[in-house]
Amino acid sequence: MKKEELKKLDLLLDESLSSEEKQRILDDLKTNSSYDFYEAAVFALKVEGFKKEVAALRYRKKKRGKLFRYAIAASITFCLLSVSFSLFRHATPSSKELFQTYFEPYPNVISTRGETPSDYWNHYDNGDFKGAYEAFPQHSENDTINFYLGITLISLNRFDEAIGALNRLDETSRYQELKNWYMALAHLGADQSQEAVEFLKMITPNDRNYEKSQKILKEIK
Amino acid sequence: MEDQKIIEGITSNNHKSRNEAVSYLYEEYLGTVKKYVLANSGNMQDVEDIFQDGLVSLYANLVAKRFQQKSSLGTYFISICKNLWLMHIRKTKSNALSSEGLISTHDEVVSFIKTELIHEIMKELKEDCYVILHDFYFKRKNLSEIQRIRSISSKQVLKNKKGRCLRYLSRILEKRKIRLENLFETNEKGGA
Repeated sequence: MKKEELKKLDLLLDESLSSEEKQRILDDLKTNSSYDFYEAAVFALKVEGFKKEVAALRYRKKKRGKLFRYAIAASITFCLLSVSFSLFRHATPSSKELFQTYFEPYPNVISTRGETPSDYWNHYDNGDFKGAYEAFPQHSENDTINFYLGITLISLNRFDEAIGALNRLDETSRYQELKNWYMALAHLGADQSQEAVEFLKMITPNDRNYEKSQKILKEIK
Repeated sequence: MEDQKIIEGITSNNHKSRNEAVSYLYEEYLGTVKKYVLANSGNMQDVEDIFQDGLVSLYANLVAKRFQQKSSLGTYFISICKNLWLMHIRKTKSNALSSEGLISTHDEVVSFIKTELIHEIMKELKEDCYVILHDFYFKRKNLSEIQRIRSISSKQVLKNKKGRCLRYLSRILEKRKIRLENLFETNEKGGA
């Protein structure tokens, strides 16, 4: 497909075009014998993206469900033992709530997977972080491995180990920007809000998580 | 929520709308799928897996405009999940459900997306290529945004790279003779 045709292919995604206009573009594109494969390629990308999004949502729902059960158990305990409110206030610190609100496992965008067992990615894609952790190489110098190991450990609420894995990332790593964000979240999960603030402040306006980091900073203050 | 709203939500370019529609399907239909899978030798993990695969198949059918709205969306979705489970147990435990056939949704043909095949194809893409194509075609981010978040030197460089990556991906499909319809598996017994 030539550049002009690729442009037309992208126009098909434009929601502002009428169905007649789209049909005209489509009729034009269909004269190219490889159009069918471009159509399948764009479609496959969408399906793969949706699959990952649903896996992440499933994981969040599961986690919220667990939290809900814990909350019920805590309430019952509260009634039975008549523990004072002040004691419970320390059991639900706001940094943990912030962590629950903002943490999302980073989607698996790795395709060159020769270096890690494929089992790991299957577990990770399905939101099965326990399985992913068990299948994952634990001591590696590879930044990709350490980054995803860190996310896996945060997902398992093993914050100290997650911080250790993320700290192993090289300073020039392409994950540096994401590292600041996930380090901040790991510290929030570990109820270390001051350490979290340090990492949140390192997120610059050009970084993808800048707006969220600013919101958290405001909430912490 | 009306069917049309769910369809628009799931196929929307907006992450929040998609999540709202998917969350609605969870609330409405997880119980039905759970009851069916548990009653037919499955466990809770199976329920969650089948429901997730069902959602992906529903999305694929909607995006490819294969759902003709001859039944309600809920009936169609439940049918996808039930058939996925039946196919799964037929593969793993033959004759476990010998008395029950695949479920029909009146005039609707139930088809399933081959997620493993798609995943296998995506693995052939280099990481940087996948990320750019994912940002553009699934997340619907514009080129300026992708250029910024992926730290690409210029918009033109990104444009060229995106074109090269899409050409490469479509060549993978062409080599394997995979067109859109080949990404679906249609169980004829599942039809009317």
